[in-house]
Amino acid sequence: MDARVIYNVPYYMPLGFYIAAYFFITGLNMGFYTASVVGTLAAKPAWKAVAKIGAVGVLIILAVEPIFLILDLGQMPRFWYLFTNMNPTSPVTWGTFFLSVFPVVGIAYAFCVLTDRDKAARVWGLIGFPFAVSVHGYTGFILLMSKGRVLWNASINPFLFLVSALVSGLGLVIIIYNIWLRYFRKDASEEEAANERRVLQTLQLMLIVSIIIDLVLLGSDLALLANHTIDAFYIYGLLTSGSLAFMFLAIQIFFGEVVPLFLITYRPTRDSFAAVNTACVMILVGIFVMRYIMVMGGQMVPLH
Amino acid sequence: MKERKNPGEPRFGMVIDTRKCIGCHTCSVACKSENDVPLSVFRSWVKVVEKGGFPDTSRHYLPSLCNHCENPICATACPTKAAHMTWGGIQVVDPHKCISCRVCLTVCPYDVRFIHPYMKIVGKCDLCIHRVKEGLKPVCVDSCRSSARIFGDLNNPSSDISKLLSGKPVQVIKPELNTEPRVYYIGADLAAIEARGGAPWMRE
Repeated sequence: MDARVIYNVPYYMPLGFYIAAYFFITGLNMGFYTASVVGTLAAKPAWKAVAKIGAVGVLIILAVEPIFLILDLGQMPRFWYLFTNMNPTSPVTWGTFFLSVFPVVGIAYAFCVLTDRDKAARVWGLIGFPFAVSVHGYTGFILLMSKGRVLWNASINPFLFLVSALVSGLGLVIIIYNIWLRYFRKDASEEEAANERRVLQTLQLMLIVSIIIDLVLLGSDLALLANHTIDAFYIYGLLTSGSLAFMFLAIQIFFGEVVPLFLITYRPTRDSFAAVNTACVMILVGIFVMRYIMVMGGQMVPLH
Repeated sequence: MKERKNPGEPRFGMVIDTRKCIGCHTCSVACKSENDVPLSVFRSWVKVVEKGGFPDTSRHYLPSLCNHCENPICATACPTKAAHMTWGGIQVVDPHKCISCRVCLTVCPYDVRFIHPYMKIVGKCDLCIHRVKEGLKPVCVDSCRSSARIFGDLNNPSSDISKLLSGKPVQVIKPELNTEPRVYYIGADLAAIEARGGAPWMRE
C-alpha cells in the first residue's frame, strides 16, 4: 500500500560534527594510552620511545578533547552542572567522572614516563588503563541507550568503538614512531636499530590484529542490520547501496582498513616507510569516517 | 490493564481517538499559543498521512506529543536530572538545569523534543502542567473541537480515560521498546504510526 506523508514536523538530527570529532579524538587518546602502557610494561629500552610518544599524545589530547564537548553544549556556561547535578543512571555522568579522573592519572603517568621513573610509570599505567578504556567506552554506551536508533542500539557498539579507537591510536603512534626512527635515530647502533625495527613490527602486528577484529565486528554489525527490523534494514541499505555507501564501503572499509591491512601485511610493503605511513594515514581517515557514519548514519532514520 | 503505578497519586495520561480527529491543527496552534512555542518547533502537532490511489484513498491523522513514558529513557539518560518525572507522572524538563547536551533528544524513540531556538534549552510537551495543577485540562484537550483527546487520571478507575481504556481497543507507539507510553491511540493507522508513513518511504 502506498502511503504519503502530507504533513509532519521537520526531522532534526541532534548530534553533529563536534560529537563525531570528539569520538575520534577520544578514541585516539585511548589508542595512544594503550600503546604507551604496552611500551612501559615491555620494560625494554627500544620500547621507551613508544611509551613517551603515547604519553605526550595523551597529554595533548587531554587538553583538547573537553573543548569539543563544551563547544557542543547549547548552554556552554552551564557545563559545570554535570558535576553538581549528577545522574548516576546517565552514561554522560559516568563519562564526566572518567573524563575528570583520567587527566589526573594520565598526567601522573606521563610525568613518570617522561622523567624515566619506570616502576612508578608501570603502576600509574595500570591504574590509568581502565580509565583510558572508560573515557572512550562510555561514548558507545550513550549511543547504546538510544532505543529508537537501530545503528546505535546494539551491544556491540562499545566494543566496536574501543577496537576502532585502538586501530586509530596505533596508526598514529606508528606514524610518529616511524618518523622518529627515520629522522632522529640516524646514529643508532645496528643492535638498537634492529630492536627498534622489532618494536615497529610488533606495533604493526597489534594494528593488524585490531583491524581484523574491527572488520569482524563490523561484519557482525552488518549481518544484524540486514536481518533485523525494518529500520535496521534501511540503515543496511544506506550503508551498502544508499547515500552512505561510498563513505562506508570505499573510504571506511576498503581504503580505511582493507588496503592498509594489505600494506602492513604484505612483505614488500610492510617494511617500507612510505607504504606503512600511507597505510596509517588511510586508517586515520577511515576511522574518522567511521565515527562520522556512526554519528550521522544513526540519526538518518526518522523517528516520527 | 497493567497494575497502577503509585496508587493514591494521580497518574495522568491521554487517549487520542484518531477516528474523531479531523486534522484541523487547532491543538497545535492552541499549544503554541498557550506555551509560547516559537516558530519552527512544536510541542504537539498532527501528522497527516494519505494512502492508496485514486479513487480508493484515505487520509489519516496522528496527533503527536510527548508520550510521557512510565519508563522514560530521557530521564535515565539526562546527565543533570533536568529531564525528570514530576507530579502526576508528567515528564518535564527543568529549564534551569538543562545544559542542552541533547542526550535526551538522541535517546527519545519518539523524537518529540526540540531545542528552543532562543532559550537554547530542550523543550517538549508537559501536558500543560500549569493548567492541570489548577484542575484544568491540557489546552490541546480543551481546544479539540471534535473531542478526540481524552485526558485524565489513569489511577482513578472512575475517570473517563480509565473507563475508555478498559472498554476500547487501544494502541501505543512502539510498545516493543518497553517505554510504557501513557498516550494511547484508538483507531490509529499503521501508516500514520510508522515513521514517514512506514516502509514505502524507504523506496523514495
